[in-house]
Amino acid sequence: MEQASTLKRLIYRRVIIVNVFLILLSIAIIWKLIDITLIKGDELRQKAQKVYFKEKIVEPERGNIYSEDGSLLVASIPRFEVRMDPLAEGISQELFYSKLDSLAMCIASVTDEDPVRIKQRLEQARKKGNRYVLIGKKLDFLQLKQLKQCPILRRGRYKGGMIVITQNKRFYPFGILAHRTLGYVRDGIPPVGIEGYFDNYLRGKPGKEIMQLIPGGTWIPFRELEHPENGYDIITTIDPNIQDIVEDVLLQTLQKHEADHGCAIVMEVATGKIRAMANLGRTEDGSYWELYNYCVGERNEPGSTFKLASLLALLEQGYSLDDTVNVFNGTYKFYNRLMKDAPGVKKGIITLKEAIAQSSNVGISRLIYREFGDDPQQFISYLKRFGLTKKTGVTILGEPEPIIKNVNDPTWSGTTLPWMAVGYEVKLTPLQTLTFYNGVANGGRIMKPMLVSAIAKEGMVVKEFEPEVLVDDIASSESIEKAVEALKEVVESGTAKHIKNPYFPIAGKTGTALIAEDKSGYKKVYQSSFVAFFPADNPIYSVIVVVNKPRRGYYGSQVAAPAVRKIADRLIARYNAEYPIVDAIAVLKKDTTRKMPLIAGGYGDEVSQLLEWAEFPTVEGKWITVKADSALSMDAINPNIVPDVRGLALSDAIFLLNTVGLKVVVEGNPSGGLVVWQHPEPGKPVDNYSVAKIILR
Amino acid sequence: MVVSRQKLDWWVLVIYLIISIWSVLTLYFIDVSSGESSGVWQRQAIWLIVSLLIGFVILMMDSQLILSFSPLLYALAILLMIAAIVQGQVVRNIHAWVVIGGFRFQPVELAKVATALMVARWVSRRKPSVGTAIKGSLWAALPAVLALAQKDWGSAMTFSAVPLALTYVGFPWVLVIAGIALYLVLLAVIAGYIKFLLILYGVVLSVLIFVFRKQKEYIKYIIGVFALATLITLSMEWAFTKVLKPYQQQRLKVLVGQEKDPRGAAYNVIQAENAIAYGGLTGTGLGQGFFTSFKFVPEQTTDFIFCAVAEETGFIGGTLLILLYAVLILRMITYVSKHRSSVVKIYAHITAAFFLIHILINLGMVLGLLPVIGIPLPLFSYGGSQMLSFSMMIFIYLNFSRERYTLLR
Repeated sequence: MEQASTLKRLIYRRVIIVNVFLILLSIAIIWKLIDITLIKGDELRQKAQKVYFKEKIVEPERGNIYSEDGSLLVASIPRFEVRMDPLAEGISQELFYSKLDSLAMCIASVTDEDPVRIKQRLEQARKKGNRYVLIGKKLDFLQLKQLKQCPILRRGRYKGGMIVITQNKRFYPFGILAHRTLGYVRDGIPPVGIEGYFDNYLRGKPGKEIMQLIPGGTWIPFRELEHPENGYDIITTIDPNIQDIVEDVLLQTLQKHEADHGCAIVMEVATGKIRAMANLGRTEDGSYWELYNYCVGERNEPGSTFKLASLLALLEQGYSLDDTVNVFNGTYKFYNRLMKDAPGVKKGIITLKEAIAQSSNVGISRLIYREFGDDPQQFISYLKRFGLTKKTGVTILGEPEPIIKNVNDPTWSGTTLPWMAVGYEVKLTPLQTLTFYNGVANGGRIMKPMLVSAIAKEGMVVKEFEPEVLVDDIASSESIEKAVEALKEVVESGTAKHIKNPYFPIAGKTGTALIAEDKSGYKKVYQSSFVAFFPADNPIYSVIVVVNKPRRGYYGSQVAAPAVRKIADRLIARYNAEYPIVDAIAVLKKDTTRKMPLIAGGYGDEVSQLLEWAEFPTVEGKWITVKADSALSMDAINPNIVPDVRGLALSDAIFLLNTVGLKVVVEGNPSGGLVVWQHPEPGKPVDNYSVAKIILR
Repeated sequence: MVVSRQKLDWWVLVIYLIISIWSVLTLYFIDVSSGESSGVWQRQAIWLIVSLLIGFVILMMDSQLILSFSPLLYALAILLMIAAIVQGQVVRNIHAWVVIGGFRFQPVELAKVATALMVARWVSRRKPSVGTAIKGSLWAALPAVLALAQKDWGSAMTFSAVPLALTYVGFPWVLVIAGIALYLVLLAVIAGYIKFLLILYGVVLSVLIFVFRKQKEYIKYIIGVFALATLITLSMEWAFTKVLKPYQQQRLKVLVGQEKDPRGAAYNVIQAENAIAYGGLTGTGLGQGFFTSFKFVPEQTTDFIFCAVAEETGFIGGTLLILLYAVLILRMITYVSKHRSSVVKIYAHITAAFFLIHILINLGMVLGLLPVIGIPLPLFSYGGSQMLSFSMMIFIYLNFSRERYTLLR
């Protein structure tokens, strides 16, 4: 009995010791619960708030840039980054490995990556616990759609680990066209072009939202604090069709003359609206690209194109075109500096008109020196009156002030005035030169170059820009008339007579400036230019083409003038029914086989007109395509089915596809190429698609 | 035998029902939070109904009949565990599942009930002594070893409930103390304090030898104990670095605060702490938990279900649940204390110990006090096997304990 109670006591002691340990652990657990929830609770919650919530700036949708006819030139379109969480809850080991091969193949078919590498990457990620594997970047909507059909990924976010990040990317439906003029905004560099100048409008106002972290390292929106305000749309004066022409001509010209760079501008005479502004520079691999806005930003000595200013000053001083000047044998010495005429310029006594037409340096400089030698500042005053001493104020960043010296300038010398008279010792940008010519074409009223005609939001015009007059009356109408007459003579019989055509008169002036020269005088670098307006009697457009550092040929008449002619032909053909289509007709009329020619296809009226001229039977319809060896077919647009855009030029293809409500993704060479492939195929119902993809070649 | 004198332990039955129904509700609100229909709460409810039906059958049975079944049940459980090792299903790297009639089942859970019964029957028939207690514990060693063979470390550990309960009938507390000491040494090894530990042994040993320099007979033992301790420490170090896989090492290191990588092994623990902290005093409200809704805490329906409770119902809810468990355990022990039948007492102690070990390890793990070991919260975590097995334990307890008067005679 006593023994039993001793054992009992002994056991009790043991029980107590064990229980003390258990009680301690229980206390520890309760304490820890209190500690976490109540004592450290606030601190932990705040930490969690920081770790799991963050404020995010919601980028507003950047405004689009349209042309006046409503074509989309620059748009914000969504681009997608797709990532995968190979450890998503719904992906079992079995599922992952059974579908890994087909998944890699499927991804590869969308992203063009090696399927073996994709497979390795996914396998590694699953092993190492990387829950954010890159599948593809900058994917378009179609690619995203295709990825969403891949094995495993098709199961969605949680079951298939598919993570989609949307980013708005700038999209240029016309590719390189007016790339620099339209501009772009990139991280780290100042925005350029219209994008840069109107950045404040286009940008919109960012909003704010709280994001929260969900497992797998993905942030998802939690609550919106401020709604982002989308940017305004800009309606530019750039006409993509004209831009297309100008870009094409400039490219051919630069290639032909192996030039370093060049620019071309088309301006509407009456309004100063810039219809095209092309800039191409040679890249390292020898191709050309819109590298820099030479039209607006590059200031050089213009050379002979500046003679228009001298001419106008002389005319205003009472000179007539028939007044004469002795150019001797084509050289003349001002002080110790020799002024020379180009070979082929008439020698001896010539008229002012001839001096302009043949671009006689000696003639113009001698006349200017004779008239203003006593009071050079008077000549400068004329230049001021012509608006040449000020920026044009075009709404694009980077326009420099023109350099026109005053008499009190420290570098002013006795030879400054005669050299200035022929476009040296002054510096202008191509756009500034064109603005002046445009003013002459416009009867003496200088228009401010316009790049933007309106600012709009959600289809409503918010602010409209009216054409602006920079200088109302630069010279008397008689002087202007005479100046135009002299410029016409340049094409009629002067330095640019080879671009003369029988259909419409062109007034213009060539310019060849020596812009750099090494000490030996062996390597000379030229800038060839041609400024013109047409039809000369009633000008619609003014054009400047500037070609820098051509390696083959350098005279403005050889290099730049033919380019202007090509632009003029195509512009007149396209936009002025009064003047017929020139080149194409000549070709067609020569075609004796009378077989229906292969036409890329195009706007109905144009094609009909062309055919009529070539005495082919015509058809009616808004859009016409002609396929090889087939009869002419007429397509009125059916808004419900996907149109056939194969064989069309880019702008036409985009117009047609936009008309039926499809967004367009362009691949291949956008300038000058024709559509060789399209998706969706023609004839498919439009409703099934939102984006069309075309390839140009 | 006087049936009218039978007295059912209503406290335990009611608490059992509250906890198990609360479990179904918690699983339901996890679905509400995450906006998914995982089907988890429906399945848990079905398991609860099945458990109640089996429980009813158990209550209808004679207690002696249940006891006589226990060797059979034990043998069945052991065989199923072996079957699971040989050709069972592997889930989360644990070879612990058998499929019977389309149902996936963990035989180790059945083994817990069977072992409790078997040990209670075996020990109660012998004179209480240290030897009896140690031998009785061996019945638990077999399923524990099999669980280790299944790579189910957590379940193996829970069988320590048996020696724990048997301290009541004389299991030597020295072994329990030694167990605790072993655990502390293990922590030191994991934390990388092995050199410090060995120096400490040396210092303590020198001091002890100096103190007992006159009593030569003690020195022998002292040196023996320290040699053993050094050997154990070194083999632990070897086991930790060579036997354990890197991820297992990492998990253990997280526990002792040696690893801070928030995306790595500490992920569970950090997320669990965040979730619990987020609940605060009163919780975010049912179906409102942020961490619960986005499944930040892995295994939040099973091993980490306490996080969902603590986040959505806060400190109050969590404490209430712990209190319910505490009352359940204490009630079982105190209710049988005046019972004359030793089999009932021993069974109740083992059952209480199983609950206690599970709860302590599970909560210790969820609250970051113990390493992350897959052990369910009894009657609460999602899972048919554990729901069924703990329900059976409770109903067998209810059966045994109500017969206190009849068994008196």
